[in-house]
Amino acid sequence: MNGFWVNFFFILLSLTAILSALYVVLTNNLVRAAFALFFTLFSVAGLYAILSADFIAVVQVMIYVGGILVLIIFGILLTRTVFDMSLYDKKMSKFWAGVIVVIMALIFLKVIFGTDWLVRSGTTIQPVTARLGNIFLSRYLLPFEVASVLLLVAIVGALFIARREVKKR
Amino acid sequence: MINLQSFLVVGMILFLLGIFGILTRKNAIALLMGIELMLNGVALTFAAFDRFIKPAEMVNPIDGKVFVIFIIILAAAEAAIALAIIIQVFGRYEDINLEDLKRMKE
Amino acid sequence: MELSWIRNYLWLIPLFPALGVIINGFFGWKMKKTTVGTIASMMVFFSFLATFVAFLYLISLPEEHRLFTTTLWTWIFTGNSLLGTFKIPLAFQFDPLSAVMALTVTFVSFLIHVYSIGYMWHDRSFVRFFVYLNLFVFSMLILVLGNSLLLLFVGWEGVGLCSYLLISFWYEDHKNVNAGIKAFIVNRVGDFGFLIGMFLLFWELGKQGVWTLTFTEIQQHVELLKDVSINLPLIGAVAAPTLIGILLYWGATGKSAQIPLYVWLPDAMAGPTPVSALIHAATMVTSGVYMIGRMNFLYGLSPTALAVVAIVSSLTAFFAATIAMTQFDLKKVLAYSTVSQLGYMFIGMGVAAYTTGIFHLMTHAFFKALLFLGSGSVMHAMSDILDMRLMGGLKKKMPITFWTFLIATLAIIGTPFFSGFFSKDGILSAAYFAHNSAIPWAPKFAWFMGFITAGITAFYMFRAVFMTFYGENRAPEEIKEHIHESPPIMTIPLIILAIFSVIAGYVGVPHSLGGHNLLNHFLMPVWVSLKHVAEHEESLAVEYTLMILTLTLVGIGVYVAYYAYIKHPEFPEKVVNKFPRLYKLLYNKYYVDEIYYATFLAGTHRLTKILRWFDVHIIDGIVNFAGWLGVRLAFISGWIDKYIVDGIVNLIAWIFLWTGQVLRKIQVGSVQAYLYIGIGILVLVLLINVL
Repeated sequence: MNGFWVNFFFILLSLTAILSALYVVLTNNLVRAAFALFFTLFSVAGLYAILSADFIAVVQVMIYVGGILVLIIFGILLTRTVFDMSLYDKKMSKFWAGVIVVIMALIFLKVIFGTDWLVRSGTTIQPVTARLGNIFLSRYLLPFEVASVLLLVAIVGALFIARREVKKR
Repeated sequence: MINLQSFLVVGMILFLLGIFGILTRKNAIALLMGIELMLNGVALTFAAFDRFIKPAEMVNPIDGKVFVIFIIILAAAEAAIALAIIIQVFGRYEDINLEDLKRMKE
Repeated sequence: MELSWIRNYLWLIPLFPALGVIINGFFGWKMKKTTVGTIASMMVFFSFLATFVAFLYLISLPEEHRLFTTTLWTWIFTGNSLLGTFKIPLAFQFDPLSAVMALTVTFVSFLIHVYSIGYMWHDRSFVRFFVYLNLFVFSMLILVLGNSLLLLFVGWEGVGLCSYLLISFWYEDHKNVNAGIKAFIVNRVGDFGFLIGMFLLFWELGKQGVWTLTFTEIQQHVELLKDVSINLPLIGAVAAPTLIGILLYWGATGKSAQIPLYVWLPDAMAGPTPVSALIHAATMVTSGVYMIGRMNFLYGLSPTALAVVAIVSSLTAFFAATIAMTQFDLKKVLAYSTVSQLGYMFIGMGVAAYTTGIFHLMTHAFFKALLFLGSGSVMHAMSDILDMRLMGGLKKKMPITFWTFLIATLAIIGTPFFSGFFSKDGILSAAYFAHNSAIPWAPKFAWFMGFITAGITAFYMFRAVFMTFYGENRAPEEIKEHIHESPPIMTIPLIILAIFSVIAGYVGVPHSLGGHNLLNHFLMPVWVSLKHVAEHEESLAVEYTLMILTLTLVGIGVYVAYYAYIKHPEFPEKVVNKFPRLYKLLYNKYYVDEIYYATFLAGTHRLTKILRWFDVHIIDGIVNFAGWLGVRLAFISGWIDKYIVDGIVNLIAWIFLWTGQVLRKIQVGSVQAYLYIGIGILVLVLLINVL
């Protein structure tokens, strides 16, 4: 793939991600917000692919799009009486949030463009899945196991919290 | 066009939109979406650093990607728990407005 | 038998008690009491066996190679930094000193564990007690086996924690909790000195190019500190070994209850009696003595530090003994006697006769544990009464307790042929013959104090025996009926300890009495600082004279006790009436607790009061003044421009309103408000960093 197409896809994907993210935070309809989030997550997966992180792109699609988003939509549907409600907090004005975000944006931009990044020279793209597998079972074995336990705990905890208490009669 | 800064800017925008979202929403599920946006922004930044920055001597060249995986794992765990809580709160108050959660301290 | 495998398995020794903690701590609540007690005791016994194997292996080695280490893993490793390499392994070390300590600790602990099964049987928290006790043995073994100052400190803090947990074991009673807190805080004051000393040693050695904290390496390089001096504000230049030695001894005064930090030990008797026996008499409190023995190469460089040790400890021995004369609580008497005997051990250390100090430590562990267990047995029979004025006549009813208690008493006062005689006499004669180049009078002073204390010890110990076991029983009737000898599980440890209280002395019979002083030969390789010192001439005639003098004084002490508490029971009353002030001073323990209260505690209170006053008058004053000034300014400017006044007033009102609203948000528990605060602070921090 030559430079033009990579640039084209990068711009396309980032624009999709940013615009749908904007929609997520601005819309008044929860279900629509969830679907906009779908586009954002998918575009980010595409961006991972451009970054030669093939495995992560797949994981992003599988877990975020296939798992978390479905979970969120389930959540919305299970609590459906609220999805027409105004999503905005009336008391907190959008204005202050905007001010904070703009200040942070300025700071970040200064950091991003003001820093002399040590860029790596080679740009060869190589598959990363096997190396990730190796590193997870060697150098990052302990964090990996801890993460597994965390997931297990989260599953059990979620079940425990969400279960309906059976009233004893 | 494909360089570190452009990816960082995209990640930054996602992160800041997430912050904007959590600051303005009062619906718990919408808040959760904001958090997911923030996490995505940060994860994208990690992936970009991994791709473009020259690794230091002691650092493994794919450490950044490992971070991304861990972020996704955490996001999954967090979403599961958060939604369980939301459903439970809904069952109790018929509402998932964050302001109402103040009642929990009583 | 091939024993060299123990070289790699030293960790077995602390492992067993740790296993006991895990098993009893997690599963004890569903096991039977017998099982819990058996597991706890057997774990300590296994530990003793492992120590014994290590000991057998150690004596099979040639004398100059009697040291081996088991390294588990690298604990702290800094990499090759600019300053040098610093590496501390987690390793255990076994040499004659560790051997003596570990054998004593595990053996006495085992007996006390067995005794506790009987003593604590009816307690609700039976399991918790054994978990703590095993944890204590584990920490103590880390302390004596650790091969670096840092690991020693881990054990040091571990035993402190267990001591605290066990003093406030019966936490329903507020008094016990307070005693535990007191012990903890006083020990913290001591640990502060210990830590500073350790850091200083580390730093000063590091400046010479050796970054280390392991004993063997410090020992190799300690000569580097010989001519180093440290400038202190107000005091001036102090030789590094002296300063470090005194700071480490400061830590020892906390743990081993010496002046000025001994105050926690008498209160520590609030814990169960086996705890007093094990921790506050036999083992933990002696860890300060062990530490000085372990660091003897450092103290060898500084006669000044040694003299300080000798002087302070001999004063402790004397004062604690005088306090013990007037106490009526049996355990308090024993507690002060422990402080006093610890003073003796430190005298031995302070006159560089390290063997005698360790020897006394060992014999004391046996007879003081026996005394405490005996008093526990008495308490058991007397329905937890401790006041000796209510005892008496127990000799007939509790023969085993009586005879073992008597043997321990004879041992502690130094009756010939009992263990205390050899060790105490060793310390006194060593003190008499010792020279100190920095403070020449220190050893003689220590000897004199120790000599007087020997007589006082005889008096108060026999006073306790006579009041408890002789005469008429003065207890209330309903308690009298219950008095009985304790069950065999309690008396058998008493008997074993009694046997050792007699025979333990024979490992160190001095040459002057026709012995070979095996212990001294065994320990000699550890005392590297004594290698270059020539054996000083000891005239046998002087030594015998000293011995006879001491024995005469002891005899007088015993006779006075007999006269005052058996023959003429009204005699103490007369003495008290004759010297009411002195008596009151002693009875109230020289008012040391009160002095500490008046100075340190009241000082803290004073400080808080000052701060409060400052707050009320100065801070509020400034605020009020600002308010007043604001009004004044507004008034003045009102003359100039009404609008500005209005503006300021409105601004102030708006500020207050706005702060009120913001502060209200913090209080309401709204998630969004928390988010705003958190993110706002994040932005601020980022701004400060970037700008």
